[in-house]
Amino acid sequence: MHNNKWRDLSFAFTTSIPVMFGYVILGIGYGLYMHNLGFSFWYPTLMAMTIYGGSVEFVIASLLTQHFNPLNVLLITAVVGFRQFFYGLSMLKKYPRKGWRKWLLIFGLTDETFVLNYYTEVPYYCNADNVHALISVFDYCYWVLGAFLGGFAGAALHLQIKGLSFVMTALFIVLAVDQVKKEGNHLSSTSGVLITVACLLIVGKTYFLVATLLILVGEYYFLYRRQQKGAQR
Amino acid sequence: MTAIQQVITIAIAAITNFITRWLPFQLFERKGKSQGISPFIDGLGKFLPPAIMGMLGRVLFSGRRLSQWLSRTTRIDCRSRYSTGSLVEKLDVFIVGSRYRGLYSAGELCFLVA
Repeated sequence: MHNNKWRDLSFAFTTSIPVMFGYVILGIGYGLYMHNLGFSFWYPTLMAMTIYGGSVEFVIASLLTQHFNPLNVLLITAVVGFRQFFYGLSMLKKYPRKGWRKWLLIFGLTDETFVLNYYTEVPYYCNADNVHALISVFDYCYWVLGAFLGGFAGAALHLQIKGLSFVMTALFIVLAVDQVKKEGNHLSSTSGVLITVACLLIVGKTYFLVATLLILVGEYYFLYRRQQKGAQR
Repeated sequence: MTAIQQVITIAIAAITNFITRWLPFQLFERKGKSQGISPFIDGLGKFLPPAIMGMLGRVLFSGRRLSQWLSRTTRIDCRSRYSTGSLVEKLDVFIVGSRYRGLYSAGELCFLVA
């Protein structure tokens, strides 16, 4: 039993290494950003611990310097976090239905953790629920550590380690190519790229993620209906 | 903003952010029913991830612009010199590539393009 847990831990850790480089460095960038806005290191650390979502935290950091507007905070967070709804949708079958792990996994469902937990093939000798939970915990620790370091000593650190965050782009590319090689048809991945680019050009940076996801759901609805009709004939 | 208003702001963001992650589990998990998730939601959950990878890939590539913006706002040079190909960046791709050995070349290619 002990042996299996150790295997889960070591597999989860090695899988999360690229995110470690990415999150610690991005976290330092975020902590530094808040430091330069005039906040003590407690702010980025606590926000990383409670909100735990990079893009939301950057936006909230700038909102904290403006007038108090709770409704605005709620709307902006909902728009920026909108994509996470669809991560949950894809994880319905992969994540456990009950127990403490379920809540931990839902709380930790960031972009990178979603990609790792969705695409990582857990070996037969590991417990998938344990591995997913451990990857989420590791990623969480990396992000909080990065935010703390950035807020505390960011200016000195940032110059030392620039460039390392590229590892996360590399991770995405590697996983994406792996997926393209495996998949039967490329409709989903091609539409993902094309619709994103189109939405960026038409809708602009603020809402393109929301627009892209809605169009993708529409596209799937169309495909699903066509498939249903085909099955009836 | 007072300290209490700041705490409220952070709390609203934290709760809303958690709700966006938790909502699908609440809405679509049919507890106690044997048939599980509806076929449409199940299919959508399988259709979206590759598209999301494409979407996030696009966002990450624009990350270079983010770092330029950061360096402007923080007045610290945090731009990575992608085009010159420093040893550190080679190492990055190698770390990832070694986990997925066959795909090392893909990472290398992306490194050259970016």
